[in-house]
Amino acid sequence: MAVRSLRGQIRPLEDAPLRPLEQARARREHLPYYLDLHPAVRFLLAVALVCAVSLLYLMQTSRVASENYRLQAAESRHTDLMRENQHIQLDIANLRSLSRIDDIARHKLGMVPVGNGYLYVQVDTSVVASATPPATQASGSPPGVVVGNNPLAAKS
Amino acid sequence: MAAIARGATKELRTGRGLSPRARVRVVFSVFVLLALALTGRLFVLQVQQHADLSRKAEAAHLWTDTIPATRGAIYDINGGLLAGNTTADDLYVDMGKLGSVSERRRLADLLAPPLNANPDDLYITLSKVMSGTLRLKGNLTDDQSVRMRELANGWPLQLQTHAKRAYPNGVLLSHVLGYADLDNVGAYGLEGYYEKQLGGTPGSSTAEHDAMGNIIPLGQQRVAPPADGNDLTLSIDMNVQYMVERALDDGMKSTGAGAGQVVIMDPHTGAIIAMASRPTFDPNTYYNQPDVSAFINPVVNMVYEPGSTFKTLVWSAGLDEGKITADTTISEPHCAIKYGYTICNTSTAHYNESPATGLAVSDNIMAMSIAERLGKDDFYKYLQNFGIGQLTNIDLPGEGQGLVNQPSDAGWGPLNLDTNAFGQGISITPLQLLTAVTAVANGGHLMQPYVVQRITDKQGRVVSETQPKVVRDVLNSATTDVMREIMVGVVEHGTGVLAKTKGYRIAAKTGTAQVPRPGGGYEGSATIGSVIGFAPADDPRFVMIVKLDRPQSSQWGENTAVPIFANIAHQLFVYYKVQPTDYQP
Repeated sequence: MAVRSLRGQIRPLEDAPLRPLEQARARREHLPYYLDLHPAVRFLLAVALVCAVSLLYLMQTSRVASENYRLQAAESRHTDLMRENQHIQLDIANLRSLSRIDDIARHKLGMVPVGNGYLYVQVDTSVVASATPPATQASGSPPGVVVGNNPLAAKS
Repeated sequence: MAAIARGATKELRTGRGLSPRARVRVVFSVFVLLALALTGRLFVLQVQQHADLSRKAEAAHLWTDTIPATRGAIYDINGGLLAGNTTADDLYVDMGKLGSVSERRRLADLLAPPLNANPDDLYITLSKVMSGTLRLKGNLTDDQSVRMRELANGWPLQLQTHAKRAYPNGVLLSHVLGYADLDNVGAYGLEGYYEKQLGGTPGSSTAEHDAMGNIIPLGQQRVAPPADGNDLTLSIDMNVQYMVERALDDGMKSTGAGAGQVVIMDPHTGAIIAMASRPTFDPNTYYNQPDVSAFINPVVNMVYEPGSTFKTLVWSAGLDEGKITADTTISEPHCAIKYGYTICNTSTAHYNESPATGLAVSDNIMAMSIAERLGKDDFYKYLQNFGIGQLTNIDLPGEGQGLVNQPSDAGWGPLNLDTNAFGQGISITPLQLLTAVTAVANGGHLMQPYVVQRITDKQGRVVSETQPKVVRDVLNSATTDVMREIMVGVVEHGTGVLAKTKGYRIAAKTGTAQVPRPGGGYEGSATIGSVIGFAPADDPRFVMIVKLDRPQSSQWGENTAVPIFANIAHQLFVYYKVQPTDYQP
């Protein structure tokens, strides 16, 4: 049986004593699932692994960059919409401006101020109360018929 | 190496070819020289200029942007927008890219119509600057911005957008609102007083940027988000404010007054419902105002001699101290001589006159009599309790304190007690007097006035809510009951008769004050006409003061201020749906 030294030299196992690392390697090579690969294959595998990791990193970076640009675009759009919202609120306030409404009422619609021309009318509140339909509807009545002492309701 | 070079030169001069070894040496020498030069240059760049260059390099791609905070809006009590935000563009011209004289002339002719400017003036402006960037016009209108963007395709024009405050109702409530300047910082009024609440805190973003100015995703980045300003909801009702301003404008037009103010307050809470002043200004174009004194709110910031409206407080104090009652009768001459000065009533002598009649005819001699019955200590104690000569602590900037000479002051004399009794020799703000009379209207409680009802953050959460605050109790409710009837008498059959309204009991007191000269004494015919009152008298919905400076149609407040008071009161009865009592059509 032989072992490979740290410098890659093959030498018989019986040439002990081995250095600690060489001993570890020797033990590893005795393992049943030890995969003995050619150095060139190992190198290629390592290169492939580095490439795969690099590619993964690049893909992630690219994805982050692209998402970031989308985020910036969304933030910009959000700012624009907020600005537009403020404009619309102001437009509403401008349209609701009392001086504007007053101007339209007076000069476009020909309206005039009421001034002191209010007339208050005495109302018999008991009549109003009796004319108010009750909130409940009698069971068995057809829809729309309200039971109560309201004459209009009784006619319907 | 020098020998090799000399040998090579010699060989060239003599026309003989160089040996390969010599050629290699020559090339080697050149490379060595180049390497030395590069090393030297690298030393200069990397060592000597390291700090400066690294700073420049960093600045080229790593910088900090300020993220402005959105300024809080201001709403009226019904949610109507009084102050909001918008954006505006400023127009710049890259003068370095603008060529010949004829090109500048053509640009001036092109820009003049959309900018509403004179082409010759624009040309002169464009001719003065030959390089750099020139700010040609700020705050473009939307139409102007659109047109300038079109023109920017063929001309070196640049538009820079910035936040701008907007007041959709123009001059409405301008003295209360104040304005935000071109840097969006509040000045005067609520904009100035609540700057910290409204302005918020700007954020910042420090990040590495690419050539296009975009943030590099995986680069260095630190973001401190801005804290937007809070919104203010006022106790002001925009509808009432509009009614008041319109009535004040009409009243000033009909009386020829130079200035005027109206304030309406809720007597039960101290909430200001409307506050109007004339002359006024448009906060959207505050920079066009030549006189900065136009921004001062006279209701809060300026003092005046109140004249006979002040008697309301004197009568109240006399009743409250029991020095007079509703049944007291006082006989007074037309004129009285006090400490060598003759003080007269406008009307004739009054005999066996009740306090109600005395206030109805605005009797100066009775006012002095009541003040003397009170004595100086009680008289000034009541004035102090009414808040006269003290800040009301309303949430508006620059409040005037007024001036009342106390008996302990050096300038005070016994005559002051008599003249103060009818509102002369003291200076107060209209708001102080209104706040004091509010105590008469609400049963004797002096309320602290306020304008901001609520402060909310951008998520609508309430940051603070103003609760009505009783500063102190000034009068007994029995006193205010009597005073209410006395003041109703002023309107029913006294100087306030022009405010008499069918179906409604209105309590008020008129005043006509002379205008003091800066050097002492009073101006000849100039007056300040005013009226203060509340309605409905038995359950007041509002307290109001109307003040007109230098009215021309009449010098009396009863002829000038009272009609404005009545006009507004009538509209408020309808607006608040106040039912008339004892109404007979």
